[in-house]
Amino acid sequence: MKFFATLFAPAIGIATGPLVLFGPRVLQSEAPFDPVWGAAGAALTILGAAAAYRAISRHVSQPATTLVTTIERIRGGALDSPVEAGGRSGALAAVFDALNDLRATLQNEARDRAQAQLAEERAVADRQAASDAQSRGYVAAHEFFMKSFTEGLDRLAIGNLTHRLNDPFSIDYEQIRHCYNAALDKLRNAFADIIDNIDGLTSRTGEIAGAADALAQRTEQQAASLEETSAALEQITATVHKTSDGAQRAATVVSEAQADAARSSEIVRNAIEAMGRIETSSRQIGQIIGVIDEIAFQTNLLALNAGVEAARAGEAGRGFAVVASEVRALAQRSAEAAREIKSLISTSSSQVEDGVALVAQTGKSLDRIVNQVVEANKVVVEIANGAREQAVGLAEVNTAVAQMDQFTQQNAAMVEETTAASHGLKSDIERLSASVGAFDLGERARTEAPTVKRSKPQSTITPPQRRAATRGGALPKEQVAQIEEGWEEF
Amino acid sequence: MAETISRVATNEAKEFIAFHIGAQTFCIDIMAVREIRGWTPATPLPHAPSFVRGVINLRGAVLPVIDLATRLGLAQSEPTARHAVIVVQSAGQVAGLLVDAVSNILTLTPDAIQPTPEVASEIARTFVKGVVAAGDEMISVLTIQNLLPEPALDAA
Repeated sequence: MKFFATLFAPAIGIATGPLVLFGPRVLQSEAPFDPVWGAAGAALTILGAAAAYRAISRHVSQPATTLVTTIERIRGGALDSPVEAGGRSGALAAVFDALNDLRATLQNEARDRAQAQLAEERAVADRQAASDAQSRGYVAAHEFFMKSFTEGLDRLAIGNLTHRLNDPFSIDYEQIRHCYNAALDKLRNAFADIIDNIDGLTSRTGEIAGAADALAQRTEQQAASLEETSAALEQITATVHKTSDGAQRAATVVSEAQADAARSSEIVRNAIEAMGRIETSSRQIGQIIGVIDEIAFQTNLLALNAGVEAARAGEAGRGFAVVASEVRALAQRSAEAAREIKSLISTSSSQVEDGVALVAQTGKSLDRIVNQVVEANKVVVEIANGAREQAVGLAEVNTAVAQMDQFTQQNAAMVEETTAASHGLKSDIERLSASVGAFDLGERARTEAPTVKRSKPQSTITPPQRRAATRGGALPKEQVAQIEEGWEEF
Repeated sequence: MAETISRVATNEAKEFIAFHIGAQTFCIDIMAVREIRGWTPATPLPHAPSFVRGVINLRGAVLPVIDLATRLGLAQSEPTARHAVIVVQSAGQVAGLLVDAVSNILTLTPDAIQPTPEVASEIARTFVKGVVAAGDEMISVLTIQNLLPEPALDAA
């Protein structure tokens, strides 16, 4: 029915109420009414009427031909003219009716398709228009964003951290603006913190550098002390070696003295025996002298008796008296000589006794000396043992000192590194300060800036310190070298 | 014998045997001396005078020995083999005189013998006939018959 309504609306006229009302409503809902389509529809209506007329006219003669023609026409897209039975009845009429239904259906579908396409085209156009408007808005917003953002980045590039993007961006870029502002806030705060901390860092770095210098100095002193200790140890070791050698020599001498004393004891014993033999000989000599004395005595008596006899003989005994006198003189001289020999022998005997006593005393003294020498030997052995133990202890001390020297060298190297690191840190902080000083932080930066500048004079003062430090750091090297030489000597 | 006596009487030099007792030197007339011998231990006699040491065997004869030191009142000495016994004979009496040592045979003229000083006691003068100054020592000349024990006393 819609199809018909659509087709006949132009033909019947727009005046027809329901159709007119119905048609535009449909058109308005989907697409604006087009007069061209109306004209086409009218033409189709006319063509259909003529064809129907011809069909009806040919109904009788060529219904089949008509049917075929109709089908081909439908297939060719001519759907406007309805297929009518043309007064036919029966099955043919039903075929035509069905064909007509088919045509109507196809016609409706074609019309729907056309309407749908029209609606789609219109929607596309609307979207295009909306899209164009939107694009123009986008472009404007983008340009604004680019301008503002580039300006902000330019400010940031010259180190201005006070700039903010205050004009709102389009909704798409607003987040970027917030992010930029927040990032700059954070950057500014961070730089402010950095500037705040640079002072502390500078002073602490100075303290570290000073401490490293002092440490280097003390390490140097320690190395010197170690060197002195090494020298003293060397002397002590030499002394201990001397003591050990001396004790060894003393032990040798003492043992020799012991042997000598033992030999001397033997000699003293021999001397005592010799003295005894001398005493015996003296005694024997004394006995012999006694015999001689006795003989002299008896001779004297005989001479006296001879003298007596001669005296009695008177003149006759005168010559005999002279002989007797001579004999008596000889006897007296013999007695005298015997007495002298006796006294000499007794003197010799007493001297031999004295000698024996002295030799015995000498023997006792030698025994005492031997005992004392043995004692001295013990003491010397103890001294030698002590010296050996001292040498062992000194070796341990030497090892400890060597370790200490090694540690000191390591410390010196570490101190040097620390000094270098502290001064590197200092220069880093100066550079950091300079880098940070290039940024403008606004009011706060103006108050903080002098601090940064004040830290710079400190950093200009530091180079002498650094030089001193490097000198201090260089000295330990020489010191280490000296110590190494010292150790090689040691 | 008679000639000798006469020579003595006529200031002829006479010979004396000099001997020591302790530190003193004495001498006796050599003509009274029979012989001189060494000391041999004497056998003491009971109840004999203190100056009689005892008796010794002299070639089979019993000879009394007088300790001259005791007899002269000097300190008694213990005799040794070096002591001498002078065998004297006087008025038919033979005795031995124990002295410390016989030192010499002196030849003296009578004027060399000085008389014993008057200050000496009678006993001394009975023993000491005179004193001879020989060098730096004084030698007493003893009277032999006074030294010997009296035979009369012995008989009594």
